[in-house]
Amino acid sequence: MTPVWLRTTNRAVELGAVICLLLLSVVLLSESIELGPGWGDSGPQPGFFPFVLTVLMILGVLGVLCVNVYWKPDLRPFFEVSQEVTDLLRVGIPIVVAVVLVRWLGIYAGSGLYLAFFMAWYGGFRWYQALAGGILLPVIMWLALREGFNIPMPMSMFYRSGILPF
Amino acid sequence: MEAIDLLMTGFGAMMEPSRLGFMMLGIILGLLVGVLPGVGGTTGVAILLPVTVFLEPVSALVMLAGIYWGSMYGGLITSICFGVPGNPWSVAVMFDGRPLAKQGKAGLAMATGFCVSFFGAIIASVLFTFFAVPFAEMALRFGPPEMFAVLMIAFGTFIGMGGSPGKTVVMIAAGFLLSTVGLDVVTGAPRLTFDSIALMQGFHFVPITIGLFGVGEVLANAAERYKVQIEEVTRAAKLGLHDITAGARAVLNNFWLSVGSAVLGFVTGILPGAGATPASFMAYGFAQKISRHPERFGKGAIEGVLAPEAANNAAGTGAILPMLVLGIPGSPTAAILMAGVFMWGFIPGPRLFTEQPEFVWSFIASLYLSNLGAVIICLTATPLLAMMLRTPYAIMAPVIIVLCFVGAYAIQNSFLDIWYVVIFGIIGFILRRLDYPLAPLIVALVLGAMTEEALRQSLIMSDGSMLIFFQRPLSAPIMVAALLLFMLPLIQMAIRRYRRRQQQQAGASD
Repeated sequence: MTPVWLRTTNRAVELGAVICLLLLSVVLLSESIELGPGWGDSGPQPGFFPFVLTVLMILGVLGVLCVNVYWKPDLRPFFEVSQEVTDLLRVGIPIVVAVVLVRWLGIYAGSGLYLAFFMAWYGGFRWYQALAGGILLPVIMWLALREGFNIPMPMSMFYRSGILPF
Repeated sequence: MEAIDLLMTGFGAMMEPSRLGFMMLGIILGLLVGVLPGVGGTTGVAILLPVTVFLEPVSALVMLAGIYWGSMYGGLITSICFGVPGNPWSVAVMFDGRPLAKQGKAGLAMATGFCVSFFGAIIASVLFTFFAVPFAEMALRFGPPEMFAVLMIAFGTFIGMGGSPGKTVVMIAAGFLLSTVGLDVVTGAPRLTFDSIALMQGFHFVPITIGLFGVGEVLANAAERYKVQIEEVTRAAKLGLHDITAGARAVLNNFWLSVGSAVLGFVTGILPGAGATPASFMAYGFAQKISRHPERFGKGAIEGVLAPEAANNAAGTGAILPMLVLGIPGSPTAAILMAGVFMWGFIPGPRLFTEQPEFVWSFIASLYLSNLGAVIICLTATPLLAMMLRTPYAIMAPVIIVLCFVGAYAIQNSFLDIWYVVIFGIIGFILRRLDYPLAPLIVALVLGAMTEEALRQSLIMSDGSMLIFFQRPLSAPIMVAALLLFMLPLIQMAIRRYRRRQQQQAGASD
């Protein structure tokens, strides 16, 4: 019995996208009607463009619905092999975790940890290689961004309370 | 000719070792700034402006100009190698540059980009040298209606681009809608913000572009890794000097396309408010329209690298022209350069040409020299840069993601932009898989705010009448051209049907 993520067809994902876009369009339509969808005395009212654009989007979505869901549906599976899903999750989930890391530990420490972890876990590097990478990247970034160009970057929570300089 | 004499004096003034040294330093700094995504030439020039206070005016200006040029060349590198646009005007070159890199031809793409950038900048510099004043006068007569007409041409070139029409319409509408979120341009009322303070700052297109293209690319590669590994493809491809000659040859093979894109870019750059970004999109759209194989665009057509790069470098040159001649900056970066000119005690404008010829003409001479310096540095570095793609995926992917975070945060110091990058990355992955074309979305997002602003300003000028676009002598022909461009796909379809009916009649009468 093939798992559900391998049975999802392109058609199913298209339908899902169409539904999301239609829901979004309904919300946008109500907002733009509130703002005033007409043509005032000195040109379009604020809601005019959002209204017209949302109507255009709905027309486009209906077109996609007709063609891709009813007339010429693509019934091939969205993910061809299970390996795709695993690879995607193995790369994607660390990205989300990295954002949270950067939020709490700042970009320098956060990116160093992210690189070191990814090298060791995904790439199979030895622990000292991963450690080297995890230290080298923040150092280079620090020199370029902080000392070199003085571009502000998200700092760690320790920075805000003055414990660490990064 | 007087201009050539003055240019020679300028070259003479530039030939001092210290001034050349500052120019090279500026170019290298500019390359570094251009490579960092999100930190475009404007930020780099702004950050390094105070450093130049201590230098004498000519050295300071040529160093800043070197930074400006370096960043125009540098943005190419991350666009092609990683699919993360280094600055706004490098988005168009990514559409075909990144597929070329995935085929192992990163060196060729970069060498072509550098060569044609040089070519475009030189053509623009020549136009600058000899036609500075007439072009400046033309720039003065451009108002909101003309701006709107020019932007309509930009959109006209993207209509009828391949793919399913329904999905293209959805993407264009979505791009425009994203650009309307935030505070209304004319009334200041919040639009589509759903009472959220976070949404009131609107969607800056850089985090969205970095997300859709950069992170989306990383996710798409991750899903494809069981089929194709980029580092293997690059290791298999031979890297070396032949890339550089191949790049130069590609420019010569498409000579007239490069010249045309450069002229288009220069003229667009002169217009105050429009700069390298719309120029690059327009050139890309035109190149696809006049190409004999439009379906190759987006999959690694070398014209798709040539046209936007020639245009954006020419536009960068053009943007300086109204700044120097009239004191009206043609782009945000030109505005910062203008601040520098004031800082050193000069007043840009017509009098600058007559009262400070050494300053002005050394600067114009530095346009040629700094481009030459930049292209030499870049071409020698190209094989090394292409070798970067051989790094193992486990190192490359996190570095790209971190670069994306840096680029997103650098725009407006908002952590929300980093979340946008990830969210749009996921959306970008799904859109790619479903064959929704991303290019129209980005074009609509980037140009949408400018277009709406120009339209509403024009309507305020005309008290609500749409005829203003056809009543002004400059905007009327441009609007007519834009309308023709919009109708071109329909006209082409009609011609095809007419020809088919002719063939059927001819066949029936046999």
